[in-house]
Amino acid sequence: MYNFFNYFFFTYLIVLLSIILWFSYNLKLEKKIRLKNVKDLEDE
Amino acid sequence: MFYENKKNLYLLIVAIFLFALNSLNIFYGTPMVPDQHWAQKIFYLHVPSAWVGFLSYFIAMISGFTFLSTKKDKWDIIGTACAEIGTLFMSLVLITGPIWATPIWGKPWIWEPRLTTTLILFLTYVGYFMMRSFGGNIERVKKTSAVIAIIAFLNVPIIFFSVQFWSPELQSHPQVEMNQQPTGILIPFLISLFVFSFIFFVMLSYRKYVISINKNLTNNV
Repeated sequence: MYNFFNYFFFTYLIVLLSIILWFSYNLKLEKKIRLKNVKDLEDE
Repeated sequence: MFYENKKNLYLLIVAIFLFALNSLNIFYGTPMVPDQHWAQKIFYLHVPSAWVGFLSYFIAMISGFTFLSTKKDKWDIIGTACAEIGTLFMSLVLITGPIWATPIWGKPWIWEPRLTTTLILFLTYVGYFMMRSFGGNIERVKKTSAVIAIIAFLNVPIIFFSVQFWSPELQSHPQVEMNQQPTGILIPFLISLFVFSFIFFVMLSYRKYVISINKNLTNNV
């Protein structure tokens, strides 16, 4: 017998985590790009 | 930083708030369908993900056309951002669909028309990203990406109407029309569609920004 709630909750977690991870990846990337930009300007 | 701008920050906060409300509504406000019980609620996440995926690919196609006619980088950035977000949501569709199908169909995947055409669309975009990464000359890559985005979108109406194109014995997908759904299901579904669309536009504005500062940096170097 399938536990329908587990299937739903697992799906919900996947959707939620994907969106959170997408934002955290982009926040990190933005920070990295900014730091690189500052570093390049200092080197110049 | 993008979220130091108050307007962007407020939009993000509204998106988080809407997602939380939508989640509460899905958990506690939607009716239980007798046959599927909790598994039916996957529908409120699966279908809006598909909608956002198709919407992203639609904007990627429009950006492709506009880029080819104007040659402005802005449209290439929008197209790329939409392709990325669209593929994220199509991946969610291809993950959440089999999770629903496992208890309902007894197996996660069936080679029926809608699933197969959705997989083809996803794989087309995998090709799109491979081409963007390894395509060589940047101007040629931009043009080819625009063309792929246009051609890939041709598959979207095929996915949508696949339940009607192919004979019924090949179909496993639910073929219930949305306007035939009871109000208890239709209204939460429409709310979920709106919330996912709002999140999509918040994601798109941020991703556009990140790609553009990355491009500026590459151009400076």
